[in-house]
Amino acid sequence: MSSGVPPVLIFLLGALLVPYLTGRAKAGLLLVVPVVAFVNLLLLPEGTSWTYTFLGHQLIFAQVDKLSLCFGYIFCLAAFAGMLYGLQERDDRQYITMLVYVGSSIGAVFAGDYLTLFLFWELMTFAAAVLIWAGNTEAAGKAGMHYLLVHVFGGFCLLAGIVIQTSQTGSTTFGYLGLDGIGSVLIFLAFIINAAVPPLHAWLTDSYPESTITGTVFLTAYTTKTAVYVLARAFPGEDILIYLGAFMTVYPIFYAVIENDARRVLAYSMVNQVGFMVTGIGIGTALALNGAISHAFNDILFKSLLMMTVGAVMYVTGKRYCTDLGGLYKTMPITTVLCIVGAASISAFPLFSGFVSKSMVIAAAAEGGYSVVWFMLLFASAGVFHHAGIKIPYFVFFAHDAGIRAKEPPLNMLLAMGFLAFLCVLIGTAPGLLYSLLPFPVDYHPYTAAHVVGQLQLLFFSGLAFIYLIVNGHYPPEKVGLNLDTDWLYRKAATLYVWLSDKPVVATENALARAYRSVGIRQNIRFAQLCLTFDIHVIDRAVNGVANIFASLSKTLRVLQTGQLQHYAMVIVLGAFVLLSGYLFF
Amino acid sequence: MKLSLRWIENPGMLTRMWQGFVGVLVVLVAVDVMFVTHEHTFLIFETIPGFSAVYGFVACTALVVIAKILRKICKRDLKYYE
Repeated sequence: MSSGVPPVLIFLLGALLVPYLTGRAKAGLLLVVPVVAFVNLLLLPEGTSWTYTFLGHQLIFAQVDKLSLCFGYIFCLAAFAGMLYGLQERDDRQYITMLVYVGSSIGAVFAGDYLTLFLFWELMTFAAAVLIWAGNTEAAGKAGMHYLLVHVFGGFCLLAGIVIQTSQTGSTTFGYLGLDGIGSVLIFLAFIINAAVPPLHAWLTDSYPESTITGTVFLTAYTTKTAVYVLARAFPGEDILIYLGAFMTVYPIFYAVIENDARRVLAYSMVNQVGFMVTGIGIGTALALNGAISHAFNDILFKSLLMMTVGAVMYVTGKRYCTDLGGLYKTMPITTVLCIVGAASISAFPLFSGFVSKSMVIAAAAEGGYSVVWFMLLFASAGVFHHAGIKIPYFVFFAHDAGIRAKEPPLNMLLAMGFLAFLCVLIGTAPGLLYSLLPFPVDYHPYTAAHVVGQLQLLFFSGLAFIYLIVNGHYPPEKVGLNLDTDWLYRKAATLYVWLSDKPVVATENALARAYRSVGIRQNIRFAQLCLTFDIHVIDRAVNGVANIFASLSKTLRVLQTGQLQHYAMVIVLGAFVLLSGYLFF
Repeated sequence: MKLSLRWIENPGMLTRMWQGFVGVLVVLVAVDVMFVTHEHTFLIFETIPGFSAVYGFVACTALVVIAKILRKICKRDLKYYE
């Protein structure tokens, strides 16, 4: 028997215990669960364990190799930081949901077969929806429902794909799949919905910013990265992913530039960052896959950090729109510095974490000769610096002074952000730590003169462009409002559908009914009257005539029927006389 | 020790920061042109000194120009979906 326990079990047990503890014991539990889960991962033996047979299928609860472990480690780290950050939420519903959400993501990552994967995939969807609903506003209610509808559709695709795939191959083992046949296409579709590949990305930017402050931090880390994991396992080297990924890096940055909600800006930048990972998986070489996976690892750290700093600002000011913020560096210097560390990491500044992973994907694109993709990735790199690296710190903490004199957030929030910022710098300065976790041996050196100078040029001259545009008033000012995206299709087009069925369809039906009443029924009545006349004048008269004939005939005959015996006897005798004389004389 | 970022409000600080920034820009391009050897490259663009500088500037300007057009098309009132 192997050592350790199935990774998902620790989180689910933790979730069960939450309601029974209070105060410090509860806080302790929330922090200990991810730590225990992390230690448990170190004990897991490589290969498959906790295999059960269910209805003739094998369920594998732990498929342990470097790929799944890498995601397992970062999921535990992010859970620890997230729980520390969320200690002031004091909301059992959220704590339980978060633990179930993290647990199901880890369950999906270690799932060795399709059925187990599907089970945790769906659990993750429902946990995430509940976490969005925890936002407790009307907008959160709607956003959670949108989220659920999109992901339940994705879940059906996954289930249908699994059924077709396993019935064709006879195996439920989850491993390399490749795009081959309708089953794999459906599974692929389910995966890219969760990875938020445009145009299937709007569920993310629509729903994540509506959750609670801590809820959004958790949502940032798991659903999309689990999708990156399953894509890396099942579809590495699939060409279409290169182009989907490259498109994914570029598309959201335009929206991020004009978006006013700080958390939604970061949601768009999530789509952009996952784009780098999807591209790397599509290229599929050892360098590219290492880049994709290490970037997923780093993205969880710096995106959680950025989401936390913006959340902290929201916590102390109650504001989330860039138009309402600004000048906070005066009273929140620590949060400001932590945000800048996150911004430098996501922008891939040398010495920060993003640099050592994103550059691998870009280098892999160059190595593979994908020049157009390479240009798109560089464009997106400049763009992410622009919106997440400059815009977020600038409009939230600097820019115009909004007159808010908010204090720093509580200590637990600062510690959580500090922990992530420390990891960002640690990985940026000592990338070997991260590289040793990757599935393939790493023969890549990020800190060459050409890389460092090239990246710094890209960033500083992007910064120059930003300054130039701001100073000359060409930069689009932050504005209150929302921007249409593909969620319009199910938020507005659905209204259009209701209008369509309400107006033209129902109106046509009413018109037809009226037309029938005025034309159809009148003709019917006229025809019925005709029939009636025919019935009265022809059929009834004929019947009556026949009856009259019979009545008069019987009246005539009745004369013969006197009822007196002597008359009948006389008729009999006369008759006998007539018959007899006829017989005798003729 | 208490962390404060109020030093950026010092008189003349913005000018000095701007000068420092321009200095960095110049140094980056100069170092690239004079010292950096572009080995292990796969695309021709990787070998042009200062390519990233020009591309970064152009990309960001283009990004903003396109984003402004996008805003004209896509921006709606906050209550649009209600």
